[in-house]
Amino acid sequence: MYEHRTTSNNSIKLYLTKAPFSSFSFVEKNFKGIYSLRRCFSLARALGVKTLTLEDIPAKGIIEDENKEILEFFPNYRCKGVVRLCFWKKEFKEPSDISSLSNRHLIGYAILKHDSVKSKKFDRWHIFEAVFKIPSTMGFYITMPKSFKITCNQKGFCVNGILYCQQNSLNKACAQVALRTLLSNHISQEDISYKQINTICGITPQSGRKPSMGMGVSDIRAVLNNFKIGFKDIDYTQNERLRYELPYQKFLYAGIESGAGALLGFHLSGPSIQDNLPPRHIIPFFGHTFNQHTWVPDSKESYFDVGGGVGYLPSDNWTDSFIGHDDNFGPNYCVPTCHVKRESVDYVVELFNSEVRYSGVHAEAVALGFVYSLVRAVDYKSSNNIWIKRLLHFTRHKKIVLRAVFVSKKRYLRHLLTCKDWEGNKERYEFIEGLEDVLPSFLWIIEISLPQLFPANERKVGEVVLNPYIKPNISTDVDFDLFLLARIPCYYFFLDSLKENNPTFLLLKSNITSHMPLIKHR
Amino acid sequence: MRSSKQKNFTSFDIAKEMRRNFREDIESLPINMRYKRQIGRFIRKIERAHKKTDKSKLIF
Repeated sequence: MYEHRTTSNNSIKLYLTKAPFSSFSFVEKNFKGIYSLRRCFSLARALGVKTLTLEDIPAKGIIEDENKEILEFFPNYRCKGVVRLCFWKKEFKEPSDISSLSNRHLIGYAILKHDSVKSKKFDRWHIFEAVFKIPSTMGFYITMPKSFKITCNQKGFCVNGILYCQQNSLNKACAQVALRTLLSNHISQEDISYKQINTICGITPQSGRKPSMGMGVSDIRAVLNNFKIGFKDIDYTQNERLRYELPYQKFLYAGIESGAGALLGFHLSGPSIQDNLPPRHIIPFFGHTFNQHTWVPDSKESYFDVGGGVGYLPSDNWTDSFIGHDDNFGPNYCVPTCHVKRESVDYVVELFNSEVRYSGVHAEAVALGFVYSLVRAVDYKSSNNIWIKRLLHFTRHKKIVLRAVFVSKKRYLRHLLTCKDWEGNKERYEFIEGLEDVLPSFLWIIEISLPQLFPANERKVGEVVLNPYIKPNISTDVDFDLFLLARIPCYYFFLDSLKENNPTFLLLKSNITSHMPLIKHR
Repeated sequence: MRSSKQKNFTSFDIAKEMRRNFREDIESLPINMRYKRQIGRFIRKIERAHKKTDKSKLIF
């Protein structure tokens, strides 16, 4: 179902992008100066574009589906053209040279569509979709880039990135395009059409609802449920206090770190409102930056208190910006974590991976209880281990760092097998082999670290491992069913018995006696 | 593997496996769970806010 990307062209033109070529003039002359395409050119310039190809292509696959859908809503709709732009790192002058190019030369692509509805006096270009490589700048973390197949002049290429889509005010608004961005990373191989999304929500010509008027929270939920994607969403307008007690940044970060992504809905303010833009906007997030030198974790505000003075330092303190698309302005933007004010945020959705039953925020809270309980209990046993002493010190001051990541069992066991502690000790092979058959396929791993050890060294002193497939029992204060194991320097913990909610843990000695690396992103 | 099977994995089973394989390196330790009420309340707060979102009228 990626025919719209791989279809053969009707014609092709080449442009060398060195001076005197002007991206501004090119966008103005060919695409009515749409802002989002200017952003694509900025990304391409930053990634070293040398040549641009422009192909006229027929409307195929989900673009053809879109045209049919718009026709149902606007009978005098006409698609006036579809264009595929590819941005190349190599300079070449003839279309035949494309046959000698490879994936490493491709920076990204954009498919643009020219829509016209005579009765509405509507005549606009928009970016149907675009994918750009993520800059390899230090400190950029994108947890779920996907490979997209694209054809240029009859030759197939692949580009890794996150699908960007733009609304057109006809059959899609910001919610539809934001959902398509995140869904495309969840559903392997297939592309989701806007007709599918609108139909799931009951937005059809017969319903009287207009797709351009956007989607409600119940519509967004219906789409996620239809594709069997778990989520936790919060409408902050129900209670102003929630903006402070459950900060949106935690849910965004958890969705990003787990690789599933997140949506942020906010109301617009400022001059744009006077231009009759929609009062609310929603955008997808899929990455974050990491700043090991930030002062933020040392400020009081960075401490996350779950209630009653019990808290920790969430790893999102070292995030300066979330990375996402804003369909109005283009792909792969850094949005500073504090730039969107709490008061402006109305809605957040943390997406989960397939079949996962609870969120990363929930997993961190569960892990917090186990860390504070296990470390205190084991202290007397290992008075000689300096890292247990340090962990205990930060536990007493409730200043440990927690980071929830969602990884496969295979990856976790490989991580345990290959990583060494600071003294060069490795875990016993037979122990890791023993875990192979007793862990589920995927795991919530909540890594435990300490201030300075986490940002500077990107290392940790242990982790709590939870089963993500179990539906949490929230009526109980401690849900032991979620717990699989925990590790701190010198020890592993497993639940041995449970009598009237009083647990006895089995302790097994570990070869790892100090700190080891964090689990890296893919 | 389907989620119905994935949820069968428990820490008790891992403990049994470890007891079987590493008899000499293990010991039992009763532990008093700390801060359970505060953490339980926080989790229920998220759940309540999520449930109340059922009635949301927001449009994007």
